[in-house]
Amino acid sequence: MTNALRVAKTLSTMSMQMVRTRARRSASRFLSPRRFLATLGAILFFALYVVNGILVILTRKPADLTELTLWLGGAMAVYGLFHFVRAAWQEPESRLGLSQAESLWIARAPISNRLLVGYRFAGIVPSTVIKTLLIATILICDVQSPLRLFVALVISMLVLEALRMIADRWSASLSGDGRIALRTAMTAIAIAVLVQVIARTVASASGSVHPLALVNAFSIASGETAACETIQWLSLPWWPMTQFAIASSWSFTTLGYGVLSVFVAVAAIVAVIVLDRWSSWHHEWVEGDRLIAIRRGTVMSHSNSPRTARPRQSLWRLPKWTGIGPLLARQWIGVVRYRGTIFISLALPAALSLAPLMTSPEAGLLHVAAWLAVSTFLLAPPALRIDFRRDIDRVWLLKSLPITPLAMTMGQILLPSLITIAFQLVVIALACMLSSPSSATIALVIGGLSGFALFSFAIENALFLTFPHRPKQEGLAMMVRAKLMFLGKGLLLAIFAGVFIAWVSMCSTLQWNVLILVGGCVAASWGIAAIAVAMTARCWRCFEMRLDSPLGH
Amino acid sequence: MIQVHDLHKLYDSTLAVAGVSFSLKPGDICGLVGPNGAGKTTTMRSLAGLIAPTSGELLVDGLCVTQDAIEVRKRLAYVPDDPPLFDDLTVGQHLDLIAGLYDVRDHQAKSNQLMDCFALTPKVNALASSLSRGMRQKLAICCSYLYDPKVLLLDEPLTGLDPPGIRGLLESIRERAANGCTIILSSHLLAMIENICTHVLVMQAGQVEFFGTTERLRQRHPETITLEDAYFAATNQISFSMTTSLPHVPLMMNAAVVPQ
Repeated sequence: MTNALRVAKTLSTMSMQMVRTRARRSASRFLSPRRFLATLGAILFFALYVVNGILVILTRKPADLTELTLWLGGAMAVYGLFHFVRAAWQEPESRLGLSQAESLWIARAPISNRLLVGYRFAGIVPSTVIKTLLIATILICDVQSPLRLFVALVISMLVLEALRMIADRWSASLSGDGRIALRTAMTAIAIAVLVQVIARTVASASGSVHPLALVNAFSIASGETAACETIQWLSLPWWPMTQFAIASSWSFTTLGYGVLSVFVAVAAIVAVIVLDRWSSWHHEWVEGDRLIAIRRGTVMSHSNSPRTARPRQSLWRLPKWTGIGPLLARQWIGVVRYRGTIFISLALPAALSLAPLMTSPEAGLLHVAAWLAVSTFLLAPPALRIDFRRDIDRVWLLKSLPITPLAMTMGQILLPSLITIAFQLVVIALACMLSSPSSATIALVIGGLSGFALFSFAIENALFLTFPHRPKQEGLAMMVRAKLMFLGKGLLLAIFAGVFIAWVSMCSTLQWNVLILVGGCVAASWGIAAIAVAMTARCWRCFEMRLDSPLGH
Repeated sequence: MIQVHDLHKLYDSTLAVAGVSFSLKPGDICGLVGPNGAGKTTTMRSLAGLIAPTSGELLVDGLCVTQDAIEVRKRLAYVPDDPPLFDDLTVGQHLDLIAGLYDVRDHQAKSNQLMDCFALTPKVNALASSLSRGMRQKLAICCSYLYDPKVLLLDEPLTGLDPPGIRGLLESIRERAANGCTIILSSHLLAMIENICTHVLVMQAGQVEFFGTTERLRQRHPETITLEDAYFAATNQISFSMTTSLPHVPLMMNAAVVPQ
């Protein structure tokens, strides 16, 4: 057996052993009596998701094949752009996204870079196949051959993965001016795409402020943007895959598309290998250049000697507040460090929330508030991960602190909640400038949404502490988790909207004072926030490190 | 066996290692010592090929660490401080993995022998995630011993080990050196390693303060009694034992190690 084959066999055996262990561990976690309610909820939502999916497939008309190819290719290109924007802004990942153990024992083993990249791709194939199965199921009624669709989608996703690795390695090799240039360029492109989507949404909505009409308009606008000429040029690498997926029968042309698709995938993997090597070389070259500059004295260097030590940076001084103060001050450091990313992450929800005022002059603050609620619940928690989710690797330290579960919970979730409230206030202020709401409406929106912000982060953290995961964990489980969370949150939002409408109807029927209406809403909002915070504190108190800490990979 | 010439390593604008040079022959055991942040781990990682040096030449068995990476990896093992392991693999599976990656023929007998030696046999089917800090360290050492490397780089290997574990490890280091293996051992437990080291490399602020045999270090600082004292003398620091042996030094200085 050749060396490469032997290593490949060893690595595949290892991967299988790890998959078996993880499956056993996941099964025991799901069957644990401690998580009975959470598991039951997850199963219920999953069942709902599957039933909904089947209903959508059965009732949907087949899409136009030309449009389907444009959307598929365009969606892949937009995803590719997203990977580049993310790579430009986030801290460089480890080489090829390898874990610390993989970096030490596999990347340092006497194996070639080709084999290492192959190992990395082999590792993502199973989750890609399962993800593709879910997507292919939705598109099955649009094409002649489910098999060709499935194969084309798997190859497309692998090319997308290769692009993600290329973006990460390229970004990691840059420093200083290069990184700033990449960030500027990618942000400008992202803004251009967003502006297109928003402008098309406004045009498609034709003055309607109904949430369903706006969602429909947004969907149409996204499709149109994906199908536009510029995005289509960017989606050129996925062209053979989309043609292969929609081919009506097997022919030489179909076979040609298939072969070309495989060729693109292989070329993408080769590009990863080449860029990985180039990235290492470029990084060393930049470092060497800087060393020369330091030796010449044109650039200042720091060493660990006391003579060149930098001035001491202090934490923000806050009162102790049973331990909340120091935790908040520590969270603030993270906010300052990632302020650019946070600002960009909240810019999109702000634009979405103000969209009703742009689409219709008749829209008022309540329409903005509805979108703000959606943004607060669905978009703010993923954008502001400066709470328990960031500290999963430091649980031991947090658990050892002399702080009560309630104070710990408040210390962890207060700052992201306050940032979200500040974001709400900015949007509400802008909305007030564009419309003229009554003071009661303003009080209702501010009072209700601020409590809702605290509720959103409390619920997010309670769920996280019940089913924890690592910061950059990927795979099928994470995808299913994200979909279930989205579905569950959507359901909760619908329930809250229903309760709010019922309350408003009751107040108007019984001709209650507007103060009771506003007061009731604000009290209800802060009441559920308080319950959610108490729940999160309980989840933190029950968090058993040995059982609940997600393991590193 | 190991030749390092003018090694520099830059992290952003921080010069972690500045002009480190030394060489070791087969069978040498070099104690790499220095205060925290001296550049010991960076030097080891550069030698192990885990990070690329900014400048300088690093040779292992005559092979360049950056140019002949794969050949160097076959000859060299690196065990970091608190080694990362695969949480989803058992102790036995870790050894199987290393045997497969390094092409160790009939590794079962050797694996069993190593596990016996480091008291890991009862844990052969235990997941790495369930191991204590010391057990993880032992497993990483077993993995690195499995393919009989010519060069061993051990970063703080004694941390977390129990007394029998420390004794066993030091004995195994001596044994491997006797068989021609070159070993670099980084540790703050100077009293523990002084009897096995043939050489000492003292680093401070990224630079070499001293490199040579342990005898030469003592000759250079004849006023010192132990390796620890010699280390303090080499790094311009005062140790407890030295101050007590020098009557003119005020007692207040005995309270802690203070810079001169």
